[in-house]
Amino acid sequence: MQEIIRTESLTKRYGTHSVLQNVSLTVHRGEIYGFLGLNGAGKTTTIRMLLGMIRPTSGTAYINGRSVIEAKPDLWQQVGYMVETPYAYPNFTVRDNLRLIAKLRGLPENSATESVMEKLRLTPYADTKAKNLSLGNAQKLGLAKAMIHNPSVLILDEPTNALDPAGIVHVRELLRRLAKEEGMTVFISSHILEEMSKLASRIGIIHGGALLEEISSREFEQLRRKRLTVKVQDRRETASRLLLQAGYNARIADEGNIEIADDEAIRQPERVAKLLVDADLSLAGLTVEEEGLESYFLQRVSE
Amino acid sequence: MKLLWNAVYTENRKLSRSPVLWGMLVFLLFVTGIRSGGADWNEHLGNMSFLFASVFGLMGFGTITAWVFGREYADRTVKDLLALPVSRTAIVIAKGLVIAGWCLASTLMIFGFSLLLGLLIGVPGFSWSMIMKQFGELLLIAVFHLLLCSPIALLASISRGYLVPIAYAFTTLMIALTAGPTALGAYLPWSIPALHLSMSGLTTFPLGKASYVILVLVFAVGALGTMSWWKRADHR
Repeated sequence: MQEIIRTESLTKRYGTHSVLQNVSLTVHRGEIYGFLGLNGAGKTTTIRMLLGMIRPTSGTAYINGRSVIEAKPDLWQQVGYMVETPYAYPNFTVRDNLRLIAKLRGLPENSATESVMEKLRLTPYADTKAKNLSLGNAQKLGLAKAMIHNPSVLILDEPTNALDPAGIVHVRELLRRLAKEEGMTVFISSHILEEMSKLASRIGIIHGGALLEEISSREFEQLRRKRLTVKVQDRRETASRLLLQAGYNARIADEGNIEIADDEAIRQPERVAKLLVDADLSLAGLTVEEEGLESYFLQRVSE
Repeated sequence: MKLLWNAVYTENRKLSRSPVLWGMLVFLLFVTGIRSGGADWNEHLGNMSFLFASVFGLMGFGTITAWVFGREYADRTVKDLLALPVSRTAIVIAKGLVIAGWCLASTLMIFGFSLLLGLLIGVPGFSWSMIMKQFGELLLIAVFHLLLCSPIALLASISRGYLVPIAYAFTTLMIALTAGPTALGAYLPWSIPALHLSMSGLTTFPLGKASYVILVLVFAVGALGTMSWWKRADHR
Protein backbone atom coordinates (compact mmCIF):
# COMPACT_ATOMS: atom_id res chain seq x y z
CA MET A 1 0.00 0.00 0.00
CA GLN A 2 1.28 3.47 -0.88
CA GLU A 3 2.93 5.36 1.98
CA ILE A 4 1.57 8.90 2.25
CA ILE A 5 2.88 10.08 5.61
CA ARG A 6 6.09 8.79 7.15
CA THR A 7 8.18 10.01 10.02
CA GLU A 8 11.64 8.70 10.74
CA SER A 9 12.83 9.03 14.33
CA LEU A 10 11.30 12.47 14.78
CA THR A 11 12.87 14.07 17.81
CA LYS A 12 12.42 17.54 19.26
CA ARG A 13 14.30 19.04 22.15
CA TYR A 14 14.10 22.55 23.55
CA GLY A 15 17.40 22.93 25.38
CA THR A 16 17.57 19.92 27.63
CA HIS A 17 13.79 19.44 27.61
CA SER A 18 12.78 16.66 25.30
CA VAL A 19 9.32 17.00 23.76
CA LEU A 20 9.40 14.18 21.23
CA GLN A 21 11.64 11.15 21.04
CA ASN A 22 12.21 8.99 17.98
CA VAL A 23 8.66 8.98 16.70
CA SER A 24 8.49 6.79 13.60
CA LEU A 25 5.15 6.13 12.03
CA THR A 26 3.66 5.42 8.66
CA VAL A 27 0.24 6.22 7.27
CA HIS A 28 -0.93 4.62 4.04
CA ARG A 29 -3.24 5.89 1.35
CA GLY A 30 -6.91 5.82 2.32
CA GLU A 31 -6.12 5.17 5.97
CA ILE A 32 -7.59 7.10 8.89
CA TYR A 33 -4.81 7.21 11.45
CA GLY A 34 -5.88 8.14 14.97
CA PHE A 35 -3.12 9.71 17.00
CA LEU A 36 -3.96 9.37 20.67
CA GLY A 37 -2.32 10.98 23.62
CA LEU A 38 -2.92 12.95 26.78
CA ASN A 39 -2.42 16.71 26.81
CA GLY A 40 1.29 17.47 26.45
CA ALA A 41 2.06 14.01 25.07
CA GLY A 42 3.51 15.47 21.86
CA LYS A 43 0.52 15.22 19.48
CA THR A 44 0.50 18.85 18.37
CA THR A 45 4.30 19.00 18.13
CA THR A 46 4.22 15.98 15.83
CA ILE A 47 1.49 17.55 13.72
CA ARG A 48 3.34 20.84 13.47
CA MET A 49 6.42 18.93 12.36
CA LEU A 50 4.37 17.11 9.72
CA LEU A 51 3.35 20.54 8.45
CA GLY A 52 6.85 22.00 8.54
CA MET A 53 5.92 24.52 11.24
CA ILE A 54 8.49 23.14 13.69
CA ARG A 55 11.91 21.87 12.68
CA PRO A 56 12.86 18.55 14.19
CA THR A 57 16.04 18.41 16.26
CA SER A 58 16.67 15.15 14.42
CA GLY A 59 14.69 12.86 12.18
CA THR A 60 12.58 13.64 9.13
CA ALA A 61 8.92 13.85 8.22
CA TYR A 62 7.79 12.92 4.72
CA ILE A 63 4.53 13.52 2.90
CA ASN A 64 4.09 11.81 -0.45
CA GLY A 65 7.75 10.84 -0.20
CA ARG A 66 8.97 14.44 0.08
CA SER A 67 10.71 15.83 3.12
CA VAL A 68 8.43 18.54 4.47
CA ILE A 69 11.29 20.81 5.54
CA GLU A 70 13.03 20.72 2.18
CA ALA A 71 9.98 20.51 -0.09
CA LYS A 72 8.77 23.41 -2.22
CA PRO A 73 5.41 24.96 -1.33
CA ASP A 74 3.59 22.99 -4.03
CA LEU A 75 3.68 20.03 -1.58
CA TRP A 76 0.87 21.74 0.34
CA GLN A 77 -1.39 21.80 -2.73
CA GLN A 78 -2.57 18.32 -1.77
CA VAL A 79 -2.54 18.76 2.00
CA GLY A 80 -5.28 20.22 4.17
CA TYR A 81 -4.77 20.86 7.84
CA MET A 82 -6.20 22.18 11.05
CA VAL A 83 -3.92 22.72 14.02
CA GLU A 84 -5.32 23.03 17.53
CA THR A 85 -8.31 25.31 18.11
CA PRO A 86 -9.28 26.81 14.76
CA TYR A 87 -9.31 30.59 14.51
CA ALA A 88 -10.42 32.89 11.74
CA TYR A 89 -10.37 36.63 11.01
CA PRO A 90 -13.01 37.72 13.54
CA ASN A 91 -14.52 40.59 11.54
CA PHE A 92 -14.83 38.56 8.37
CA THR A 93 -17.84 36.38 7.69
CA VAL A 94 -17.57 32.63 7.22
CA ARG A 95 -17.81 33.15 3.46
CA ASP A 96 -15.14 35.87 3.43
CA ASN A 97 -12.76 33.80 5.55
CA LEU A 98 -13.13 30.89 3.16
CA ARG A 99 -12.69 33.12 0.13
CA LEU A 100 -9.37 34.33 1.51
CA ILE A 101 -8.12 30.76 1.82
CA ALA A 102 -9.51 29.84 -1.61
CA LYS A 103 -7.67 32.76 -3.17
CA LEU A 104 -4.42 31.90 -1.39
CA ARG A 105 -4.70 28.36 -2.68
CA GLY A 106 -5.39 29.59 -6.21
CA LEU A 107 -8.93 28.15 -6.31
CA PRO A 108 -12.02 29.64 -7.94
CA GLU A 109 -13.24 31.62 -4.92
CA ASN A 110 -17.00 31.35 -5.30
CA SER A 111 -17.42 27.73 -6.30
CA ALA A 112 -14.81 26.38 -3.85
CA THR A 113 -16.30 28.38 -0.97
CA GLU A 114 -19.92 27.48 -1.64
CA SER A 115 -19.08 23.83 -2.19
CA VAL A 116 -17.14 23.39 1.06
CA MET A 117 -19.79 25.29 3.05
CA GLU A 118 -22.37 22.88 1.66
CA LYS A 119 -20.19 19.89 2.52
CA LEU A 120 -19.82 21.01 6.15
CA ARG A 121 -23.36 22.38 6.53
CA LEU A 122 -22.09 25.90 7.05
CA THR A 123 -24.25 27.57 4.41
CA PRO A 124 -26.78 28.93 6.96
CA TYR A 125 -23.89 30.72 8.68
CA ALA A 126 -22.23 32.00 5.50
CA ASP A 127 -22.85 35.65 6.40
CA THR A 128 -22.12 35.32 10.12
CA LYS A 129 -18.95 37.00 11.30
CA ALA A 130 -16.40 34.53 12.64
CA LYS A 131 -16.38 36.26 16.02
CA ASN A 132 -20.11 35.51 16.41
CA LEU A 133 -19.88 31.80 15.61
CA SER A 134 -20.52 29.13 18.21
CA LEU A 135 -17.51 26.97 19.09
CA GLY A 136 -18.92 24.13 17.05
CA ASN A 137 -19.40 26.24 13.95
CA ALA A 138 -15.96 27.81 14.40
CA GLN A 139 -14.61 24.27 14.41
CA LYS A 140 -16.53 23.53 11.22
CA LEU A 141 -15.06 26.66 9.66
CA GLY A 142 -11.60 25.35 10.56
CA LEU A 143 -12.45 22.05 8.90
CA ALA A 144 -13.82 23.88 5.87
CA LYS A 145 -10.54 25.77 5.50
CA ALA A 146 -8.70 22.45 5.68
CA MET A 147 -10.93 20.80 3.08
CA ILE A 148 -11.66 23.64 0.68
CA HIS A 149 -9.22 22.35 -1.95
CA ASN A 150 -10.30 18.68 -1.75
CA PRO A 151 -6.91 17.56 -0.49
CA SER A 152 -5.70 13.99 -0.73
CA VAL A 153 -4.07 14.28 2.69
CA LEU A 154 -5.85 15.73 5.70
CA ILE A 155 -4.01 16.44 8.94
CA LEU A 156 -6.34 17.36 11.78
CA ASP A 157 -5.55 18.19 15.37
CA GLU A 158 -8.48 17.49 17.71
CA PRO A 159 -11.09 18.26 15.02
CA THR A 160 -14.21 17.21 16.90
CA ASN A 161 -13.44 18.88 20.23
CA ALA A 162 -16.17 21.49 20.18
CA LEU A 163 -18.70 19.77 17.93
CA ASP A 164 -22.10 18.70 19.21
CA PRO A 165 -23.06 15.01 18.88
CA ALA A 166 -24.77 15.58 15.51
CA GLY A 167 -21.71 17.49 14.28
CA ILE A 168 -19.40 14.70 15.42
CA VAL A 169 -21.41 12.06 13.57
CA HIS A 170 -21.56 14.24 10.45
CA VAL A 171 -17.79 14.88 10.42
CA ARG A 172 -17.06 11.23 11.19
CA GLU A 173 -19.21 10.06 8.29
CA LEU A 174 -17.72 12.68 5.98
CA LEU A 175 -14.15 11.64 6.78
CA ARG A 176 -14.99 7.96 6.46
CA ARG A 177 -16.63 8.52 3.10
CA LEU A 178 -13.72 10.61 1.80
CA ALA A 179 -11.22 7.99 2.94
CA LYS A 180 -13.19 5.13 1.47
CA GLU A 181 -14.46 6.62 -1.76
CA GLU A 182 -11.76 9.11 -2.64
CA GLY A 183 -8.78 7.46 -1.01
CA MET A 184 -8.14 10.47 1.20
CA THR A 185 -5.50 9.85 3.86
CA VAL A 186 -6.46 11.27 7.24
CA PHE A 187 -4.11 11.83 10.17
CA ILE A 188 -6.19 12.84 13.12
CA SER A 189 -5.17 13.51 16.69
CA SER A 190 -7.61 13.34 19.53
CA HIS A 191 -8.08 12.65 23.17
CA ILE A 192 -11.74 11.71 22.64
CA LEU A 193 -10.89 8.06 22.65
CA GLU A 194 -14.23 6.49 21.89
CA GLU A 195 -14.57 8.75 18.88
CA MET A 196 -11.23 7.49 17.62
CA SER A 197 -12.24 3.88 18.08
CA LYS A 198 -15.27 4.54 15.86
CA LEU A 199 -13.35 6.43 13.19
CA ALA A 200 -9.74 5.35 12.89
CA SER A 201 -8.56 2.37 10.91
CA ARG A 202 -5.27 2.47 12.80
CA ILE A 203 -4.34 4.02 16.10
CA GLY A 204 -1.01 5.26 17.42
CA ILE A 205 -0.65 5.91 21.14
CA ILE A 206 1.82 8.62 22.11
CA HIS A 207 2.85 9.27 25.69
CA GLY A 208 5.60 11.42 27.12
CA GLY A 209 6.82 12.23 23.61
CA ALA A 210 7.29 8.58 22.61
CA LEU A 211 5.11 6.44 20.37
CA LEU A 212 4.07 3.58 22.65
CA GLU A 213 2.11 1.48 20.25
CA GLU A 214 0.53 1.35 16.80
CA ILE A 215 -2.47 -0.86 16.47
CA SER A 216 -5.09 -1.47 13.82
CA SER A 217 -8.74 -1.23 14.77
CA ARG A 218 -9.05 -4.97 14.06
CA GLU A 219 -6.19 -5.77 16.43
CA PHE A 220 -7.77 -3.52 19.01
CA GLU A 221 -11.02 -5.48 18.75
CA GLN A 222 -9.08 -8.65 19.53
CA LEU A 223 -6.97 -7.14 22.26
CA ARG A 224 -9.53 -5.35 24.31
CA ARG A 225 -10.81 -7.21 27.29
CA LYS A 226 -14.41 -8.38 27.43
CA ARG A 227 -16.35 -9.54 30.46
CA LEU A 228 -19.80 -10.69 31.47
CA THR A 229 -21.30 -8.68 34.32
CA VAL A 230 -23.93 -10.45 36.40
CA LYS A 231 -26.28 -8.63 38.77
CA VAL A 232 -28.25 -10.61 41.34
CA GLN A 233 -30.83 -9.22 43.76
CA ASP A 234 -29.21 -10.78 46.86
CA ARG A 235 -27.09 -13.80 47.91
CA ARG A 236 -24.19 -12.49 45.88
CA GLU A 237 -21.63 -14.78 47.54
CA THR A 238 -23.80 -17.86 46.89
CA ALA A 239 -24.11 -16.93 43.24
CA SER A 240 -20.39 -16.35 42.91
CA ARG A 241 -19.59 -19.67 44.59
CA LEU A 242 -22.03 -21.46 42.27
CA LEU A 243 -20.40 -19.95 39.20
CA LEU A 244 -16.93 -20.88 40.43
CA GLN A 245 -18.12 -24.46 41.04
CA ALA A 246 -19.47 -24.54 37.48
CA GLY A 247 -15.96 -23.71 36.25
CA TYR A 248 -16.38 -20.02 35.53
CA ASN A 249 -13.68 -17.56 36.56
CA ALA A 250 -16.07 -15.36 38.55
CA ARG A 251 -15.21 -12.62 40.99
CA ILE A 252 -17.18 -9.99 42.89
CA ALA A 253 -16.20 -6.56 41.59
CA ASP A 254 -15.97 -3.35 43.61
CA GLU A 255 -19.50 -2.27 42.73
CA GLY A 256 -20.87 -5.57 44.03
CA ASN A 257 -21.56 -7.08 40.60
CA ILE A 258 -20.14 -10.44 39.63
CA GLU A 259 -17.69 -10.34 36.74
CA ILE A 260 -16.78 -13.31 34.55
CA ALA A 261 -13.93 -13.03 32.06
CA ASP A 262 -14.25 -16.50 30.45
CA ASP A 263 -14.75 -16.52 26.67
CA GLU A 264 -17.39 -19.22 27.02
CA ALA A 265 -19.49 -17.09 29.38
CA ILE A 266 -19.19 -14.10 27.03
CA ARG A 267 -20.21 -16.19 24.03
CA GLN A 268 -23.08 -17.95 25.82
CA PRO A 269 -24.39 -15.75 28.64
CA GLU A 270 -27.71 -17.62 28.58
CA ARG A 271 -25.99 -20.64 30.20
CA VAL A 272 -24.93 -18.46 33.12
CA ALA A 273 -28.47 -17.14 33.41
CA LYS A 274 -29.92 -20.67 33.42
CA LEU A 275 -27.46 -21.81 36.07
CA LEU A 276 -28.46 -18.98 38.41
CA VAL A 277 -32.20 -19.24 37.80
CA ASP A 278 -32.12 -23.03 38.34
CA ALA A 279 -30.54 -22.37 41.73
CA ASP A 280 -33.40 -19.99 42.65
CA LEU A 281 -31.17 -16.93 42.51
CA SER A 282 -33.02 -13.83 41.28
CA LEU A 283 -31.15 -12.43 38.30
CA ALA A 284 -31.35 -8.63 37.93
CA GLY A 285 -29.04 -8.10 34.96
CA LEU A 286 -26.67 -9.77 32.55
CA THR A 287 -24.41 -7.61 30.38
CA VAL A 288 -21.47 -8.31 28.10
CA GLU A 289 -19.12 -5.39 28.59
CA GLU A 290 -16.21 -4.64 26.27
CA GLU A 291 -13.22 -2.67 27.38
CA GLY A 292 -13.31 0.72 25.75
CA LEU A 293 -10.42 2.43 24.07
CA GLU A 294 -10.28 4.72 27.08
CA SER A 295 -9.42 2.04 29.60
CA TYR A 296 -7.12 0.30 27.11
CA PHE A 297 -5.34 3.59 26.54
CA LEU A 298 -5.06 4.37 30.26
CA GLN A 299 -3.74 0.88 30.89
CA ARG A 300 -1.09 1.31 28.16
CA VAL A 301 0.10 4.74 29.29
CA SER A 302 0.29 3.68 32.93
CA GLU A 303 2.49 0.66 32.15
CA MET B 1 3.96 34.95 -9.68
CA LYS B 2 0.23 34.31 -9.75
CA LEU B 3 0.37 32.96 -6.20
CA LEU B 4 2.28 36.06 -5.06
CA TRP B 5 -0.41 38.20 -6.65
CA ASN B 6 -3.07 36.11 -4.87
CA ALA B 7 -1.27 36.72 -1.57
CA VAL B 8 -1.13 40.47 -2.28
CA TYR B 9 -4.84 40.40 -3.09
CA THR B 10 -5.78 38.66 0.18
CA GLU B 11 -3.47 40.83 2.28
CA ASN B 12 -4.98 43.90 0.69
CA ARG B 13 -8.47 42.64 1.42
CA LYS B 14 -7.56 42.07 5.06
CA LEU B 15 -5.92 45.46 5.56
CA SER B 16 -8.44 47.49 3.59
CA ARG B 17 -11.23 46.15 5.81
CA SER B 18 -9.33 46.79 8.99
CA PRO B 19 -10.51 49.51 11.40
CA VAL B 20 -6.87 50.14 12.31
CA LEU B 21 -6.05 51.45 8.84
CA TRP B 22 -9.04 53.76 8.61
CA GLY B 23 -8.79 54.85 12.25
CA MET B 24 -5.14 55.73 11.71
CA LEU B 25 -5.98 57.64 8.53
CA VAL B 26 -8.70 59.66 10.27
CA PHE B 27 -6.27 60.47 13.09
CA LEU B 28 -3.56 61.61 10.65
CA LEU B 29 -6.06 63.74 8.72
CA PHE B 30 -7.25 65.29 11.98
CA VAL B 31 -3.71 66.19 13.05
CA THR B 32 -2.97 67.51 9.55
CA GLY B 33 -6.09 69.67 9.82
CA ILE B 34 -5.19 71.25 13.14
CA ARG B 35 -1.61 71.95 12.01
CA SER B 36 -2.69 73.61 8.76
CA GLY B 37 -2.10 77.18 7.70
CA GLY B 38 0.93 79.47 7.67
CA ALA B 39 2.37 82.55 6.05
CA ASP B 40 2.62 80.85 2.65
CA TRP B 41 2.24 77.47 0.93
CA ASN B 42 5.82 76.55 1.78
CA GLU B 43 5.06 76.84 5.48
CA HIS B 44 1.60 75.24 5.16
CA LEU B 45 2.86 72.14 3.34
CA GLY B 46 6.14 72.19 5.31
CA ASN B 47 4.16 71.70 8.54
CA MET B 48 2.52 68.64 7.07
CA SER B 49 5.82 67.26 5.72
CA PHE B 50 7.45 67.69 9.11
CA LEU B 51 4.64 65.69 10.69
CA PHE B 52 5.38 62.94 8.16
CA ALA B 53 9.09 63.09 8.88
CA SER B 54 8.43 62.33 12.55
CA VAL B 55 5.10 61.25 14.08
CA PHE B 56 3.22 60.16 10.95
CA GLY B 57 6.09 58.14 9.58
CA LEU B 58 7.32 56.46 12.74
CA MET B 59 4.01 55.96 14.53
CA GLY B 60 1.53 55.91 11.62
CA PHE B 61 3.43 53.62 9.25
CA GLY B 62 4.78 51.71 12.24
CA THR B 63 1.32 50.97 13.62
CA ILE B 64 0.06 49.77 10.25
CA THR B 65 3.07 47.47 9.87
CA ALA B 66 2.70 46.19 13.43
CA TRP B 67 -0.97 45.48 12.76
CA VAL B 68 -0.48 43.68 9.44
CA PHE B 69 2.05 41.26 10.92
CA GLY B 70 0.94 41.25 14.56
CA ARG B 71 -2.74 40.57 13.92
CA GLU B 72 -1.95 37.14 12.50
CA TYR B 73 -0.61 36.21 15.94
CA ALA B 74 -3.26 38.10 17.93
CA ASP B 75 -6.05 36.50 15.86
CA ARG B 76 -4.10 33.20 15.86
CA THR B 77 -4.49 32.93 12.11
CA VAL B 78 -0.76 32.75 11.36
CA LYS B 79 -0.83 28.94 11.24
CA ASP B 80 -3.22 29.16 8.27
CA LEU B 81 -0.47 30.93 6.31
CA LEU B 82 2.39 28.53 6.99
CA ALA B 83 1.63 25.45 4.89
CA LEU B 84 0.18 26.79 1.65
CA PRO B 85 1.13 26.45 -2.01
CA VAL B 86 2.34 30.05 -1.74
CA SER B 87 5.67 30.27 0.08
CA ARG B 88 6.07 31.98 3.43
CA THR B 89 8.55 34.37 1.81
CA ALA B 90 5.87 35.35 -0.69
CA ILE B 91 3.42 35.96 2.16
CA VAL B 92 5.93 38.29 3.85
CA ILE B 93 6.62 40.10 0.56
CA ALA B 94 2.87 40.42 -0.06
CA LYS B 95 2.36 41.94 3.36
CA GLY B 96 5.24 44.35 2.72
CA LEU B 97 3.82 45.39 -0.66
CA VAL B 98 0.38 46.00 0.81
CA ILE B 99 1.83 48.03 3.69
CA ALA B 100 3.87 50.10 1.22
CA GLY B 101 0.85 50.55 -1.03
CA TRP B 102 -1.46 51.74 1.73
CA CYS B 103 1.16 53.94 3.40
CA LEU B 104 1.85 55.65 0.08
CA ALA B 105 -1.89 55.93 -0.59
CA SER B 106 -2.32 57.50 2.87
CA THR B 107 0.48 59.93 2.04
CA LEU B 108 -1.30 60.91 -1.17
CA MET B 109 -4.61 61.33 0.64
CA ILE B 110 -3.09 63.49 3.35
CA PHE B 111 -1.22 65.58 0.78
CA GLY B 112 -4.46 66.05 -1.17
CA PHE B 113 -6.30 66.92 2.03
CA SER B 114 -3.62 69.46 2.97
CA LEU B 115 -3.80 70.96 -0.53
CA LEU B 116 -7.57 71.27 -0.27
CA LEU B 117 -7.36 72.86 3.17
CA GLY B 118 -4.76 75.34 1.94
CA LEU B 119 -7.05 76.38 -0.91
CA LEU B 120 -10.07 76.61 1.41
CA ILE B 121 -8.37 78.78 4.00
CA GLY B 122 -6.70 80.87 1.30
CA VAL B 123 -3.02 80.32 2.04
CA PRO B 124 -1.10 82.87 -0.10
CA GLY B 125 1.72 82.23 -2.58
CA PHE B 126 0.38 79.18 -4.51
CA SER B 127 2.61 77.88 -7.28
CA TRP B 128 2.59 74.49 -9.05
CA SER B 129 6.38 74.22 -9.11
CA MET B 130 6.55 74.66 -5.33
CA ILE B 131 3.68 72.18 -4.82
CA MET B 132 5.44 69.57 -6.97
CA LYS B 133 8.70 70.13 -5.10
CA GLN B 134 6.96 69.67 -1.76
CA PHE B 135 5.19 66.58 -3.08
CA GLY B 136 8.50 65.05 -4.25
CA GLU B 137 10.06 65.69 -0.85
CA LEU B 138 7.07 64.21 0.93
CA LEU B 139 7.21 61.04 -1.19
CA LEU B 140 10.91 60.65 -0.44
CA ILE B 141 10.26 61.04 3.30
CA ALA B 142 7.48 58.44 3.04
CA VAL B 143 9.85 56.02 1.31
CA PHE B 144 12.48 56.57 4.03
CA HIS B 145 9.92 55.72 6.68
CA LEU B 146 8.80 52.64 4.79
CA LEU B 147 12.41 51.46 4.90
CA LEU B 148 12.29 51.87 8.68
CA CYS B 149 9.18 49.68 8.98
CA SER B 150 10.86 46.34 8.29
CA PRO B 151 12.27 45.89 11.84
CA ILE B 152 8.73 46.45 13.09
CA ALA B 153 7.57 43.49 10.99
CA LEU B 154 10.39 41.41 12.44
CA LEU B 155 9.53 42.43 16.01
CA ALA B 156 5.84 41.66 15.47
CA SER B 157 6.78 38.21 14.22
CA ILE B 158 9.23 37.46 17.02
CA SER B 159 6.98 38.83 19.78
CA ARG B 160 3.87 37.23 18.19
CA GLY B 161 1.69 40.30 18.44
CA TYR B 162 1.46 44.02 17.80
CA LEU B 163 2.10 45.52 21.25
CA VAL B 164 5.89 45.13 21.28
CA PRO B 165 6.38 46.61 17.79
CA ILE B 166 4.07 49.54 18.60
CA ALA B 167 6.07 50.15 21.79
CA TYR B 168 9.22 49.98 19.66
CA ALA B 169 7.78 52.52 17.19
CA PHE B 170 6.93 54.86 20.06
CA THR B 171 10.43 54.48 21.50
CA THR B 172 12.02 55.27 18.14
CA LEU B 173 9.90 58.41 17.96
CA MET B 174 11.15 59.48 21.38
CA ILE B 175 14.74 58.79 20.34
CA ALA B 176 14.26 60.74 17.10
CA LEU B 177 12.82 63.74 18.91
CA THR B 178 15.44 63.80 21.68
CA ALA B 179 18.64 62.66 19.94
CA GLY B 180 17.75 63.89 16.44
CA PRO B 181 19.06 67.44 16.91
CA THR B 182 22.43 66.20 18.26
CA ALA B 183 25.54 65.31 16.25
CA LEU B 184 24.41 61.69 16.33
CA GLY B 185 21.17 62.53 14.52
CA ALA B 186 22.49 61.89 11.00
CA TYR B 187 23.40 58.33 12.02
CA LEU B 188 20.24 57.47 13.94
CA PRO B 189 17.91 55.81 11.44
CA TRP B 190 14.77 57.29 12.98
CA SER B 191 15.94 60.91 12.91
CA ILE B 192 17.38 60.76 9.39
CA PRO B 193 14.05 61.53 7.60
CA ALA B 194 13.47 64.68 9.69
CA LEU B 195 17.07 65.86 9.28
CA HIS B 196 16.84 65.18 5.56
CA LEU B 197 13.69 67.29 5.37
CA SER B 198 15.16 70.15 7.35
CA MET B 199 18.12 70.39 4.94
CA SER B 200 16.32 69.46 1.74
CA GLY B 201 16.31 73.00 0.38
CA LEU B 202 19.97 72.57 -0.51
CA THR B 203 20.05 69.42 -2.67
CA THR B 204 17.87 66.34 -3.21
CA PHE B 205 20.02 64.27 -0.84
CA PRO B 206 21.52 66.78 1.60
CA LEU B 207 22.84 64.30 4.18
CA GLY B 208 26.00 62.25 3.86
CA LYS B 209 25.86 58.94 2.01
CA ALA B 210 26.21 57.07 5.30
CA SER B 211 22.78 58.28 6.45
CA TYR B 212 21.01 56.85 3.39
CA VAL B 213 23.05 53.65 3.54
CA ILE B 214 21.95 53.25 7.18
CA LEU B 215 18.29 53.43 6.09
CA VAL B 216 18.85 50.76 3.44
CA LEU B 217 20.76 48.58 5.90
CA VAL B 218 18.00 48.85 8.51
CA PHE B 219 15.49 47.83 5.84
CA ALA B 220 17.63 44.90 4.71
CA VAL B 221 18.13 43.61 8.24
CA GLY B 222 14.41 43.89 9.03
CA ALA B 223 13.20 42.43 5.74
CA LEU B 224 15.65 39.53 5.57
CA GLY B 225 15.16 38.88 9.28
CA THR B 226 11.38 38.73 8.90
CA MET B 227 11.54 36.41 5.88
CA SER B 228 14.06 34.20 7.62
CA TRP B 229 11.93 34.11 10.79
CA TRP B 230 8.81 33.08 8.90
CA LYS B 231 10.75 30.48 6.95
CA ARG B 232 12.97 28.96 9.60
CA ALA B 233 11.72 29.67 13.11
CA ASP B 234 9.63 27.16 15.05
CA HIS B 235 6.01 28.27 14.84
CA ARG B 236 4.59 26.89 18.05
